[in-house]
Amino acid sequence: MTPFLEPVLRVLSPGLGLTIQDRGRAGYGRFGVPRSGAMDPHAFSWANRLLDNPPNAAALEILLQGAALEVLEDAWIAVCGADLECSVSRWRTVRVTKGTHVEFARNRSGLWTYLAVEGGFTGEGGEHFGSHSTYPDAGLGKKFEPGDFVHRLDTEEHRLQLPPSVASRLVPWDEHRDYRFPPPIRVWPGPQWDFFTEHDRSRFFENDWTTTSRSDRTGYRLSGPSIKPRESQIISEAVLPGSIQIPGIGQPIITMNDGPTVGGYPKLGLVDPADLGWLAQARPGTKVRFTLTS
Amino acid sequence: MNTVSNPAITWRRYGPCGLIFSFSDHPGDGVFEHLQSISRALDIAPPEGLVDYFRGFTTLTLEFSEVLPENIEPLANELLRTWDGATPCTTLPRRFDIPIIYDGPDLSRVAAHSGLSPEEVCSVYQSTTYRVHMLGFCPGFPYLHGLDSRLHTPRLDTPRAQVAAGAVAIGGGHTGIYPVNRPGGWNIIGHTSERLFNPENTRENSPENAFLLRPGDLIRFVPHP
Repeated sequence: MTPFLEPVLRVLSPGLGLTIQDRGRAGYGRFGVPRSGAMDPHAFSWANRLLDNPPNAAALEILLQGAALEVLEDAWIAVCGADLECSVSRWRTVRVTKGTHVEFARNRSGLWTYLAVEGGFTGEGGEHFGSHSTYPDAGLGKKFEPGDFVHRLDTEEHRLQLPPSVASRLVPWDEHRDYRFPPPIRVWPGPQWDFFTEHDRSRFFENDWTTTSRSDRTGYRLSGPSIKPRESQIISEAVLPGSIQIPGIGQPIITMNDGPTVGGYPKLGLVDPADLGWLAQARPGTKVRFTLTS
Repeated sequence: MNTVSNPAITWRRYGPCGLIFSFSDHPGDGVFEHLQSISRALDIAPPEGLVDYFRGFTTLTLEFSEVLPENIEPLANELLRTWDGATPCTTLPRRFDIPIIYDGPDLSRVAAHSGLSPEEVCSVYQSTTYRVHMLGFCPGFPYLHGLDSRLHTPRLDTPRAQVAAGAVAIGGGHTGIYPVNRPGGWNIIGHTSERLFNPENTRENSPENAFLLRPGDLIRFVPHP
């Protein structure tokens, strides 16, 4: 059954990066298909919750700034995530009307912003492996270009119905995150925990790490003190998102959602999935600290 | 053999929901057959709460939907007991001839490392029948086992930002074929026109149709006519 698809937005500019993401495609690890999905599940989930969407409804994921969209049809939307200048209010439901432009200008902190629509968007070509998430390298959806239409699933039961006296709905203030100052990020010991000396493990947890510009949906590279594994290669095995890999050069690469499913670098630890969104939102130059789960 | 008491088998927790089993210290046919039968058991009757699993040369990684108990011992032992009865795979392997053109930028590097001429590298490379031990890294990437030890070549110090789909490459003691464009650190010796990943073929509820190869397949490289 193919649901009727409605173009609801037109891409004027994709800015630095514009894709469709939901909670990703678990279940295909043995084929080498990465998980993909929203880099910051916290902001993504709030955008859907505001609209009473199913938790896995697909949203637009916007990288940094520069994206501009034209509304083709009156709709409720919600924008949550990075702190940036946006032509609509963030962290609340917004009724947009046909012809409105939604623009994402100067970014102040954070990297990823989510724009959700009632009912959810659909990826280019629909679902691949049970998900709308874009993974353009393998042809699962594609990166948006100027002039592209963004479609939504037109399911009438997912239209937002606010009570007559309610004009909008807000995310509570204490759920807004200040991405400049992530809390200590919780880490589980990784499969190669024993490859590292007690001394190097302490240095990993006692020092600040800085996120670098060599970071994307595949992996985040950090800079800090040099940490050396006992051996620089292992027999290739699974790499889960959030894995803290330490290659021979001694600087961590943290595997993110589009990262390889199998790899040969020793893994010191695994970022707790509940904290991975904090790391994802850490713009290059942000100081992060890790803490061992107890 | 009772694997529960097999000291070669170890396991570790891998985050809140993950469990990684190691069945051997070295890749090889024995551990491969063992992993084949366990994978089959996982496909037919996945344990409750399993959301994903990953193949390695010597490991199997399971990911569950719920946080695992602090003591994973009982769960690990129960899984191993279940797999003890897993039946070996008896179907005949599928055979593939993969056309190859030896035009890779690292052919000379592999030659220099092996002490062979580039022509000898090609001749040694295509004289072997390889077995797909697993798919991983990116969609449909086959990790091929059986590389002649003379051609074992360390990965590049700095991975390439982009390796084109179809690249045939050597990484350490293994070889593989890039199904999609990806960054990668393996030594590229050539390329094939064969399409290893075709996402259009996934529609009829059988995701495996999107992948040309699967674990157990036997591969020969033949010079492109």
